[in-house]
Amino acid sequence: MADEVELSCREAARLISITFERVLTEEESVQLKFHLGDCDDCQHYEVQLKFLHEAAARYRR
Amino acid sequence: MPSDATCDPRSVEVETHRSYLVHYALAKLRDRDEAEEVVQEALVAALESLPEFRGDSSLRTWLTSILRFKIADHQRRAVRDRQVFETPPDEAPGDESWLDAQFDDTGHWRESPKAWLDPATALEQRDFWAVFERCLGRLPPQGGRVFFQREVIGEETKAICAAEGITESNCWVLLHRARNSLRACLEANWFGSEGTHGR
Ligand SMILES: [Zn+2]
Repeated sequence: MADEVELSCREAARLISITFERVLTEEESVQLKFHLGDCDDCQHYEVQLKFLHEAAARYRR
Repeated sequence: MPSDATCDPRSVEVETHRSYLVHYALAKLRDRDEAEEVVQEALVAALESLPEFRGDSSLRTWLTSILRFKIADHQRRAVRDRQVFETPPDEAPGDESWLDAQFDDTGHWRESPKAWLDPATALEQRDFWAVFERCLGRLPPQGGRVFFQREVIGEETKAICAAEGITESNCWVLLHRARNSLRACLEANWFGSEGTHGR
């Protein structure tokens, strides 16, 4: 588990937020996918941010 | 159809959008008193022209377009009166120490984000939106403005950062932080109390 190329949740969360701003690099995207495959916390976080994104857009209407 | 706006049943509905409009104005003007004043002007103008509102767009969209005129008006006046003032800087955008409250030394969540129960249904509930607004109101001023312009209005990050006078990557940090606080606030005040809301 302790491989240097693995993201921490802290880094994964940052990348998840950034997906709303720009396209991730290939490396970022592979690292994130790898982390998410294995981390329920960050999966929940990703779902929550998508929900926030949708709720904010809905709030405008 | 009565032409007197006070007889129009929609005049009551107009009032329910006030808090959204204040958030909108706040994202543009940065000062709560001014924002409330401009919203008041916009609502008065809206009530006057309510008979002309035919419902081609949603009421909120229509009110927002009136508010935009009032904000532009206000900004022109402010420039003319040289009343452009500096707002106190919040936290430095580059400061990421807030992340230490969320993550431990090994980079793990201190408190695990949970699976939210039935978020789609929340969007249909009036109480949820009251909580959503309260959570928005708790964001630090600059983060709140940036989040509102980015996620609610849907503006380009580049334009928002330029208006705030910060770099794009600092903008991302502010947005990340705002998203973090919002999700934590919603989890604590809505999704955390499963089964006790929505009644
Ligand atoms: Zn994780």
